[in-house]
Amino acid sequence: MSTKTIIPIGPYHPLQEEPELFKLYCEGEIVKDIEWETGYNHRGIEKINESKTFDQVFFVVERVCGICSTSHPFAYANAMEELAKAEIPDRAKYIRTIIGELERLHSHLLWVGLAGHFLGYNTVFMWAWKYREIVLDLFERITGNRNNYAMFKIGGVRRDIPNSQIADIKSVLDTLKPKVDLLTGAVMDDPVIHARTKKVGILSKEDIINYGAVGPTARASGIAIDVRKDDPYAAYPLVNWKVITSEGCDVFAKAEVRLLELYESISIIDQCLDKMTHLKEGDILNPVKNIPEGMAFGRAEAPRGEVFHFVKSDGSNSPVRHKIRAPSYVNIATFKKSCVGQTIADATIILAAVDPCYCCTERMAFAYDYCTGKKIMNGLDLIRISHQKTNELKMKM
Amino acid sequence: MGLGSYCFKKSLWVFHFGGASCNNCDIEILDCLTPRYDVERFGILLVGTIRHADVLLVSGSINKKDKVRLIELYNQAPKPLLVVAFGACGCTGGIFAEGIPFAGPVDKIIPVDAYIPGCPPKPEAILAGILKLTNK
Amino acid sequence: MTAINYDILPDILKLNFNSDIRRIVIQQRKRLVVYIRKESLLEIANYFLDELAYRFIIATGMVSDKGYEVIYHFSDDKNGYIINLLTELEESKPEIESLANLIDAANWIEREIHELYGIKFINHPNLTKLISDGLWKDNEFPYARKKGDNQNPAGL
Repeated sequence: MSTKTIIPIGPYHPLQEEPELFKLYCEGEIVKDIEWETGYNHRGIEKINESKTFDQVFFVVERVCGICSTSHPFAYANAMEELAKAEIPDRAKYIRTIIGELERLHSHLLWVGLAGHFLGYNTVFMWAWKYREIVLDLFERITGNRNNYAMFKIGGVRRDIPNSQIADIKSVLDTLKPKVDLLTGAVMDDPVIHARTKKVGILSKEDIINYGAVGPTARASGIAIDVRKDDPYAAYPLVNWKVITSEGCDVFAKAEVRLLELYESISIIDQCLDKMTHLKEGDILNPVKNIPEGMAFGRAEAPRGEVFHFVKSDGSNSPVRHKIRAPSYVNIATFKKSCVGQTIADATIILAAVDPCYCCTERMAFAYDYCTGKKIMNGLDLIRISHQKTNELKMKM
Repeated sequence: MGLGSYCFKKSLWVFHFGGASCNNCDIEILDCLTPRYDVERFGILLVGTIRHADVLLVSGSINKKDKVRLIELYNQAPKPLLVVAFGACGCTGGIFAEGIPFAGPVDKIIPVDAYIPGCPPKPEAILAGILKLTNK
Repeated sequence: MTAINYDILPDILKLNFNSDIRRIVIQQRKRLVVYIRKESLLEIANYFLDELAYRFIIATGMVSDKGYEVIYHFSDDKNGYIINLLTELEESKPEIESLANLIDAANWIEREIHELYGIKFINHPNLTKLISDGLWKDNEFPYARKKGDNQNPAGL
C-alpha cells in the first residue's frame, strides 16, 4: 500500500512556514484530492466601503489586489456611471483604457516570471521582471506611482496625459516589443517547457462552464469570453483588437494566451495614444453630483478575468452594499479538476497557470498524508520537486 | 561593540511575514531581488525559515489569525532579531484598520525596530530602510 | 438553446414561470433584475443555465428592510447583459435552496454568505467556513441583522 503524502504548495519565495492555502492529499506521486483552507487574508473590505463616500471607495478597492489594482476601480466606475447615467469624455475613456492595458502588460509579465520560476527557469523570472520595470516606469510617469494609481473618479479620470508626452511614451512602448518577442520565443519554443506544460492541468470546456471560470483560464480552453468584447466599456469599442483564444486547454495554452495578449495590449495602447493626440487636453472629467437610488452592476476585464462589482445605493453618498467578486474566486475553484490525477511535480505549475491573484498564491498548500493526515512536505519542497523534474527532462533531451 | 551590533554588521538575512494584504508590498520586496535593484549584492537574502533570519519583515495588515502566527514566529526566532514594519498596512494597518478582522498594528503585537512607510514602499525606500538598519 | 430577444424576454419569463416572478425591473441598459419567489429559485436558475446558456457570475447576500435578500447574478456573454435573480428571505427563517448541486460555481459563495450572514443554504454539500476560519466563533455571523433593526446595520 503506498503512503499518501501531502504536499504543500509553497509560495514562490520563502515566506511563511505555516499558512496553508491548499492541502494536496497525495498517494505516492499522484494528487488525489485538494482542499482549500484560509482565513489569513480576510480584511472586511465590503463592510469598510459602507462607511466611505462613493469617491472614497476607489481608494479602498484599488487595494483589494495589488496586481489587478486598476480593474477594481474600473468595474466600480462602470457600475456607478451606469447608475448615474453619466457619459465620460472620450479623452477619459482613452486614458482609462491605457491604464487598464498597461496593467495587463505588467501583470502578464509578472506571471511569466513566476511561471518560469516554478518550472526552474530563474533566468526567465529575472528577465520578465526586469522588462516589467519598463511598464512600471511608464506608470510612475503617468500616474505618480508604480502601483495603486488613483486615476479613477466617477465621471472621468483624475490626471491627464499631456499630448506633449505621447510621442515619448510610444517610443518607450516600442522598446518593449522586442523584449516580449524574446520572452515569447524563450517560452514557446523550448522543448522542455513543452514537455512540462502540454497536456498538464487540463480543463475542458464543460469544466470551465461548470465553475464559471473566466479570463485567460477560460480562453485557453477555447471559450471566447472577454468583457471588453462582450460588454464593451471605455475605449475598447473605439480601437481594433482581437480576443486571443487557444484550444489546448492545458497549462501551455494558458501561457500562450497570456503571451499573445501582450501584443494586443501594446497595440491597444498605441492606438489610444494616437487617437488622444487629436482630443482637447484637460477634458477628462464630467463631474457627477448625485448618485441616485438603485442597484448598479459593473464589470471590467482584469488580467485574470472578469471583475464584477454590485453596488446598492439609497440616494445618500455612501453605498448601502458593495459586493466585489474578483476573477480568482471562480478560477481557483477549478483546481479541484485540474490538479486531481496529476503528479506532485506538476502541482505548482498547474496552480500557477490560472494565475491566482498573488494574494492567494502567497499562502499555498502543504502536503498531507492521505492515510495518516500527517504533514509530509512544505511549499519549498514542492517547488524543488518541480525543478527536479525539469532537470531530468533537460538531461533526457 | 555589543553582540547585537556585531551580529548585524554585515549581510542581513530576512524572513518575510505577510499578513492580510493586497500583496503589492510582497511584490515590491520580490522586485528588490530582480536585476534593477538586486538586493543580493548587499548580501541580503530572503530565507525560508525564521530560525535563520536576522530580520523579520512584516507586511500586510494583521488579522486575528495572522496575529497568532506572528506571535509564534517572534517567539521562535533566535534573538537578537530586528523587526521591520513594512508598508502602510504594516505600520498602522492602513485602510484595513477599520475592518472587522483587524487585530494589529504590528507594533501593538511585537516590538518594532524600523518602519518603512508607503503604499507600497518603492524598492529604493526598502533599500534605504534596510541600510539604515545595518547602520543602527 | 433559445436565441434571446431582450425586448420580449420579460414576457417569455412571465409566460414560463407565471406567479413565480413577482416583477422585472430593467435597471439600466443591459441590466435586469427579476424578483422571484424563493421557492422557484432552482427551476428558474436551471432555465437560465440550461436553456438560455447564461454564465453564473456570483451571488450577493445582503440585509434588507424586512430580512435578507440574496441576489444571484448571471451573465449573457453573447449579448453583454447581466440578469439578476432577487430572492427575499425572512429574518426569522433565512434559508433558501442551494444552487451548488446545480452548478459548482455557486459552491464557495454560498459558504461565504452563510458565514457572514447566517443564511442557510439547504442541501449544500459542505456548508463550512470559507474565508473566516479562526477569525470569529462558529455560530457568530458578523454581518447578520441585529435584533429589531429595520434597516442596514451601520457601517463601522
